[in-house]
Amino acid sequence: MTHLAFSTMKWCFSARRIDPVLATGLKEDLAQAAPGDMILGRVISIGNHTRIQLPSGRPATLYPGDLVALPCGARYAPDQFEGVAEIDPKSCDMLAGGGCVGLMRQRNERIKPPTQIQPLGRITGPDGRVLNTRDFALLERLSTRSLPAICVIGTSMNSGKTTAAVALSHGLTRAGYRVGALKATGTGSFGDFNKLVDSGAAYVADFSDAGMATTYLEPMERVIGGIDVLLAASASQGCDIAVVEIADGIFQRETAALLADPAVQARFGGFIFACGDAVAAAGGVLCMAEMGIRPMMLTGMLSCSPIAAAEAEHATGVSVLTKRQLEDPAEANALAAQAGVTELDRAA
Amino acid sequence: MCIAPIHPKADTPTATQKRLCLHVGKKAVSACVQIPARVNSSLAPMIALHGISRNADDILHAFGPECDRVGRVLVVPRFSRKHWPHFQTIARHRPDRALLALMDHLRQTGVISSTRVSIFGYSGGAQLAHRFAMIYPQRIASLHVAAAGWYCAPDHKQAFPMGLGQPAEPEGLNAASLAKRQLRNFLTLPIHVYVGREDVERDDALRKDPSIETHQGRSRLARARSYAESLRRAARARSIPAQVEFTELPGCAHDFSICAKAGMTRLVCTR
Repeated sequence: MTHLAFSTMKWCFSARRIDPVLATGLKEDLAQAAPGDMILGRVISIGNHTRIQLPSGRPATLYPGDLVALPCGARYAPDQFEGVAEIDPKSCDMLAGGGCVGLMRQRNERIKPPTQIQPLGRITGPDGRVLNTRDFALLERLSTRSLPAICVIGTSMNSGKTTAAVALSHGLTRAGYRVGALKATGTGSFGDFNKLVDSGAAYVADFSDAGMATTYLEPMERVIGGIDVLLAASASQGCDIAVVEIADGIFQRETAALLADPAVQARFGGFIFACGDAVAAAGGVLCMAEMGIRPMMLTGMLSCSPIAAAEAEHATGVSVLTKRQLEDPAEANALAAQAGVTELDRAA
Repeated sequence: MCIAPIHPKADTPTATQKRLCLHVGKKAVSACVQIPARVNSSLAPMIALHGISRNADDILHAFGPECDRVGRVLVVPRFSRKHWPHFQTIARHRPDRALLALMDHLRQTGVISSTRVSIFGYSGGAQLAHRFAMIYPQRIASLHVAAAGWYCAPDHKQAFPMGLGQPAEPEGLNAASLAKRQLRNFLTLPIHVYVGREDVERDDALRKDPSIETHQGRSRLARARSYAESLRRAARARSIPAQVEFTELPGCAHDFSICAKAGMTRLVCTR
């Protein structure tokens, strides 16, 4: 396999930190595949994912026979698949469009089976070692400056977390802050990433910049370390505040563990909770209270309905803000103050 | 947005002046921007706001030479009666968005580099200036309020807009709640309150609500004194070292040009 062949195959977005010119060979010991190992695969059949997200930010249509380079990874997506970071030498599954290959364990009834990939080997670099996303992470401890941060969590996938994080990032930017917009957990995808970039945030990064193609089933110390790396990188970029989205719902494995950890809670000056209706708001606020968290405000699909918002405010005593309000620099600015941005921080 | 150069005025021969107009939603705001021949980058740009007479030209005429002398970029917005009948308050109407848009545009086009400005307002302009600073303290290098008819005091017991207590019926943006959350940051700002020593006439433009008279006084002079003291008191209660300066301008009634000639603009530009 020549450099040219590696460079012309379809590399995925979640491996964007790896320069394809580094790929020089293959190891066929697929049973040894570990999370983050780059897998060269050949598309067998097209299933749920008809396209692969490229590092350039463009989706590329997949055809049977295409060669693709994807990191081995797990997936947790109630709307799509649950899968693990294992490679079956005969056939494996494309678990995410942003780039994640593994074995599907279960899938949502409403979607097609995954796109099938024939794994050809683990891609090696010039030194003969397997290329792994972990080795291309941002340097740790770029800055020791503590950065005020607002954490966005929600009831589930598609509850409105990313919409809220994007709107708040935009509102804070309009209020004059340099915003670090971060996605702390989940599976690599350019959709959310690009929305955060478009919000005007000064710095955008996700867990793949911390070396993880996906955070599902990763050791918690690695996930927490990834958050610290992203916050430190934001501080190094001169950001005044970070907006940090944590994926999925508050019952999801890593999200629940993060929120239950007082040391993780202490990294955030405030929490915003996205949910779909008033009952979800009431339940979520109660669950978070057990972890010692009181959200600053509620948002998400709930906020589209004034009636649902009124019910939620009555049931929880927490205010509801719409996407448009989060985009308002005055509202966003007040949340920043509530989360601990002070004149002292700005002068630092 | 449109930018049109205008001829330098005779009394500001070295500065360049440009007029611009920005659309903010369905409204527009215009402004004259004066860039000194030698910009002193250690001084924050100055935004100077007119009062309800909308005498932006007088403001420009008074501040232009001083800002040019010290090397400060000067921005003098004009809020038209048509688009901004009530530009002094931030609630149902959003003049704050117009000011943010101006600041952002000037940064994007390289006219200014700082995210912070010094903001001055006279009379109705002072009302907008201090309310803007209460909601966006991080955009303010120093606040200069001159001869406001009345103030939003840092007092939770008085209902908004006189204080930061919740109004019975909030209109539009809940400015009281937002300002309350920024109060500590606001109170750390350098705040300068100016008023004419003879500004005691109870003219038609002065609000005479009994609640304002009870809490703030019967004249602009009394209200300015009361406001400065309320700022110091609120800072003291929070153990914040207040940077509040109160300046009475001798021989001045409620007239911007006379206050300017009495040295107010020089004081503002050098602080």
